Amino acid sequence: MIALEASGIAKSFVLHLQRGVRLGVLRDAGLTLRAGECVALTGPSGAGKSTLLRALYGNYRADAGSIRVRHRGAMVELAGAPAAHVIEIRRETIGHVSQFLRAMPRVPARDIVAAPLLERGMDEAAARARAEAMLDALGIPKALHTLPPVTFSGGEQQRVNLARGFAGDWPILLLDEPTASLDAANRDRVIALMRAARSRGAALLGIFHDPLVRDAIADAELRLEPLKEQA
Amino acid sequence: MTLMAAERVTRRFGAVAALEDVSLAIGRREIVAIVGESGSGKSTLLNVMSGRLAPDAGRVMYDSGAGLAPIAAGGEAALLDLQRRRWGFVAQEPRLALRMNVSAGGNIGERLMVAGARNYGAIRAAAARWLETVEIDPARIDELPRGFSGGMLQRLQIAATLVTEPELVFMDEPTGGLDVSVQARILDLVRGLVRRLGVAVLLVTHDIGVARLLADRIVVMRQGRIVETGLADQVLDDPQHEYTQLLVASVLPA
Amino acid sequence: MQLYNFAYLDEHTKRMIRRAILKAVAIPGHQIPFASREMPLPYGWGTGGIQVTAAILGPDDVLKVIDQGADDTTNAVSIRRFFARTSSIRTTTRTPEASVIQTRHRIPETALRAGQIIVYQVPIPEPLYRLTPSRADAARMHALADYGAMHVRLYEDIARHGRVALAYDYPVMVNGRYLMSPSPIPAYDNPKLHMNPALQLFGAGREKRLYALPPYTEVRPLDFEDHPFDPHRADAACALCGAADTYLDELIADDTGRRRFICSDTDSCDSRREETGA
Repeated sequence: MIALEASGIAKSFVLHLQRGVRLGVLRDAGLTLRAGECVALTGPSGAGKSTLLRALYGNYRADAGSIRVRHRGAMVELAGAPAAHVIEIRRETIGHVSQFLRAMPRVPARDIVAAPLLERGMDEAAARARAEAMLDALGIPKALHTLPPVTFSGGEQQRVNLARGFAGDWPILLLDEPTASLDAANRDRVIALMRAARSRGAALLGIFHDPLVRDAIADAELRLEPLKEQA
Repeated sequence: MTLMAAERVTRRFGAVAALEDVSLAIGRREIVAIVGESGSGKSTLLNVMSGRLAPDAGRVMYDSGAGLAPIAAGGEAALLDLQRRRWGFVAQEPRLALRMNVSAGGNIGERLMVAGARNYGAIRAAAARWLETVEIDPARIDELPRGFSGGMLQRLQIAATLVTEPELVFMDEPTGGLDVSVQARILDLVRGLVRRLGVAVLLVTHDIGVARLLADRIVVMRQGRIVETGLADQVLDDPQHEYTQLLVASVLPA
Repeated sequence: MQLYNFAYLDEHTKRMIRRAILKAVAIPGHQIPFASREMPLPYGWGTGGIQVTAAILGPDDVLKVIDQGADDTTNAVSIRRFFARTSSIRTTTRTPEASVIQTRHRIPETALRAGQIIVYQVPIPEPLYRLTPSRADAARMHALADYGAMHVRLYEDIARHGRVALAYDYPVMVNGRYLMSPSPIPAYDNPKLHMNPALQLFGAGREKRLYALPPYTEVRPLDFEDHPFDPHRADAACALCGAADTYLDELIADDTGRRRFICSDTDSCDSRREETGA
């Protein structure tokens, strides 16, 4: 079953503050992602791996192309969709896991992880319990659960963000270097979470620099190359 | 589903066009931030949409349950009813919005009484509950707000606005003029309450950080026009318009 | 020789005031502006009430004037004499005999009947005055029946004192529509406003406003469900007539500071004493 289907994706950045220079990053990119599979995005630095992930999430606006995702049982177009629709698709269908936590002042780690669950309508007690379990699974000490992560170490913040990313059981997960800079034990925890996601039928698309992680989780590869600059 | 819409509104102050042919729709439960510098027309748009200022051209529509209808159609009484019962307004300066010679409880209770509440005990209980919600000691219910700090006053204003659980709240620089640590506390409070109550918010701010933290969608204004609009993270992470890029580039990294 | 027109005011002025009264009767509780005239006594001495009385008096009327319930205080005596001299009508101190009663600060204890008219002297006709000094704001609030803020005042009283701390001029809702000042009558008198068979007219000379309660108009004091209107009355009986159900004035009775309570309504007190032979 197809979970996500993208074709003809183009993306360039016009830098108005640098005399309007245009940076082409993606041209005619596309892929098909099935439920239960994991595709690794590969290619050299600057090939547009992160840009593609962000375009698929709607974080970057694709200049051209189609992004269709299975949402509420039907394939729907994400590219150019109204904001409210994109928000709904993100709430229920597509999760995005990056290595950087956008910590909110005063909000405890547990509530950051529970937030997407609450937005989906889960009751507060259940969402909190689920959040606690995810933080446990990522080795965050209990004492930190009720503290705002602003003061946590970089690694701890990253794991809080991973807990948030995996808590929601999204059918599609976009993973941007989820294991970067984690130690071996935590890396293995994340691999276990990704495997669990696959086995419940989630479709995964990720950037994994660590070949060990890639081999452990991905069963296909999509290689991107930097665009040749056009005159 | 559209809750409110400005349709091609224009507003001039003398020769200056504060708003020029601006259209903006807000969905139910949607949080929309209008960002821009001073004089961009963002506050004028907020005032026009909240019925505090009549547009020279165009109209503002609101859905009170029977479909979108012009807010000015029912006359002043109908507009006041919208403002009192369905909307809320959080101003930057709480001292001007609150009654400083009325107790904290009376300030929170006012909107309930305006809406017809006539049970003293119930009004008082609601006021105490809301003080607790905005993290003010309920034991201070009978105190005049004069002795409150700036952050407390703003939290009191938020309680006094949300007590009737409006469908839509207008916020004009709600954390302007407050210390950064105090700001964070209020933003966190607003975020939580807005989600819990399911209210739509139209927020005016010049602070990109506030917009990112609270908004689903961002509208960028400049010289009386909307230059860009989109998902909050999209506008901030992939700004298209030259002015938006400048605005985003001008923010100090957190 | 007749030095003045009947009841002092000229007929054009009377007609102007009557037109305002008709409007006021048509919109119970709503303040109607009128061209208040210079009167031969200062503002604050009942110029509004006197003009209303002058406009409605006819040769067959019998006039009673009270001040704080009493027929024999300077103000009451002066106004009664003023009309006696300028109109040669009959005057009385007996409530049941009067066809027109002009009053300052009280409603007689004896129930009024259909056909009687009571005219109140009003210093401040605007009940929203305490909330806003702006006439434009107040007019807007009346137009929109936007009276919630008035309840904030009552809320504050209950929060601070445990009850509404308004002993007189207690605001009322008229006919479920207009907020009205009953003039500075004691809150104890407020229930008498409600469904009164007499026509009630209110005149404010300095503020140039008059308003009215037609007979049998619903008049409700502002209150809360769980703090219902509960006017204060001294817990005593009248030292002269023994009445335990009238509004009482407190007097220092002798040099030792002993206090006594007597009826504020002198006519009702006298009548009772005659009946009982006290």
